[in-house]
Amino acid sequence: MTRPTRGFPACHYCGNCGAGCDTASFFCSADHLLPFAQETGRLEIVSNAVVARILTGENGLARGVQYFDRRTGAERQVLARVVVVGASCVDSTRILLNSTSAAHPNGIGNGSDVIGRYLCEQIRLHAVGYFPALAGTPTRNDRGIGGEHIYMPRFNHRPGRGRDYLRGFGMQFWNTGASVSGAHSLSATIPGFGASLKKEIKARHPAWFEMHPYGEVLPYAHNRIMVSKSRVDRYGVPLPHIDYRIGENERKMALHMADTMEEIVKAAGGVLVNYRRGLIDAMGSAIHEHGTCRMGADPKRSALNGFNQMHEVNNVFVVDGSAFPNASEKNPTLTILALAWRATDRLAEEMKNGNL
Amino acid sequence: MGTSEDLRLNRRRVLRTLATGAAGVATSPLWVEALIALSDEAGQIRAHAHASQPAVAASWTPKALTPAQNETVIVLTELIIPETDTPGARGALVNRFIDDVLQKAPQGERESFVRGLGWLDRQSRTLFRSDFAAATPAQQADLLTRLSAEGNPAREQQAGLDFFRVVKAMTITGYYTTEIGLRQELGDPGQLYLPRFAGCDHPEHQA
Repeated sequence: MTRPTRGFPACHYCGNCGAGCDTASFFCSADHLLPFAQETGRLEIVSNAVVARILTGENGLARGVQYFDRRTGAERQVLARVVVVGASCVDSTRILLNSTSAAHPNGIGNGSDVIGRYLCEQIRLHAVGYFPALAGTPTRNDRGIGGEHIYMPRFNHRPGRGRDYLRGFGMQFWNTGASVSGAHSLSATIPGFGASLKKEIKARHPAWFEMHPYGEVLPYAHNRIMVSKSRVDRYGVPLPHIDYRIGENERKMALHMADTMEEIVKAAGGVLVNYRRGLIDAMGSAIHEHGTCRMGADPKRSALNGFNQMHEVNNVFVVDGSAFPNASEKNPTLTILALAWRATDRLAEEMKNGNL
Repeated sequence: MGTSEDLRLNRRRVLRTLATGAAGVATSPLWVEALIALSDEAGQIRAHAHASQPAVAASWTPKALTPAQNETVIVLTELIIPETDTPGARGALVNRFIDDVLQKAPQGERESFVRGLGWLDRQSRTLFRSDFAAATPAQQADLLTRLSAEGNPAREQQAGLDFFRVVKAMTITGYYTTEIGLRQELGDPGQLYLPRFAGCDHPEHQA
């Protein structure tokens, strides 16, 4: 937080955010949302509850959820006026598709058959290397917040920067400078052994860098999450099955990503290590899944309205990345949070007005 | 060291790495990539644990390896990262790290590693009429130089090259995730591995 918020001070820019913040100046729900909700005395948190299905009544509306206690395996239910789903894209989709009933044979709220389809997971490439100009310089404390340190926003919308594909990509720069992961996994690529190897590892320690472009994948109906007909988890609940492939548009984008990485490294005087042009990271590496329960104005082509509320089942809200109609090339968490916040404001309003 | 669950979890990373083919030479067998990824992950976990428990037990016996195999590992890892103005792999107890990783690794990977040690001894006996650990430092270095050589190896050398690749990566990981390797040798503040963040003490940043 750049300013004092909810009684917590502004960021001091002196910690390792990835390990948690001593002053709670890093926004997270455990510091900034849940304690305030608990203070109302109207929140009960049930941990270790693995939700399997949304239960529906004869009117087709949701009436609660069925879950299993992770420690004992016991099956339980929570009954509710409204169900808000936020289990992350893949698992929310699985829950929705597993929530079949006479009113919802294709999964709850899925008369349109869009739930599970249009899975958008970004494509990711990566390159690692080092800057000879930095080799042998003192180790610096410049690793950043723990992960990406520098972010290069999408640029291909600028004049003269576009290419023959739709949408675009941004890039994250990781472990710039002193890199612990650089000290081991990459150092093993340095030839030889002995004192000369040790010297070379030390020289390169402050010089490593990693580049990770993330690109948007268009929403395709054939990229989809289904639930398995044969494989179940230990509670007997069908597992997700994912069909996913990238298309021509993404392949063209990946080439632009590779060209961009190579151009940056060349201009900066870097040396790439173990670089294989054209290699795309395994599908799912970006862990930014979206799109399988998308919002939209048309109930035939979307599952949720503009407030994350199901078109077909108005007492179910889905508030994670699955609600996005496309992925974008960016990290989605803050947008997910903003949309969820907006959806729950709407939910409170609707309850107040007696519509739910 | 992490729990076996940590290592299981990270097999996913191994598979991901293999799927991308990004981490290494395409011709490396599965066990090579698997052990490297497992040790990479174990190194991260250990670096954190080390920060809170820097003391190490004085008495220790290998669990995955025999005492003789452990001796070979000590000699081999010290050749890879030797003592200079800072301690080497022996001083940083890299052999214990490797034994820990092997203990938690799947049986197949563990056996492949042990076969690699066997290969090293056989090769050493062929060349120098002595097990590797008992050969002279010059002979040991000679053998490792052959395993470090660039270019296309003879087919019978491949097993040795695979093994050396694993041992080298595990040694580097095991060494540079210790107090000795990270702080003393690299001069890294190691702030990612502080046992706890004491808090920012800049007066202007206090609430």
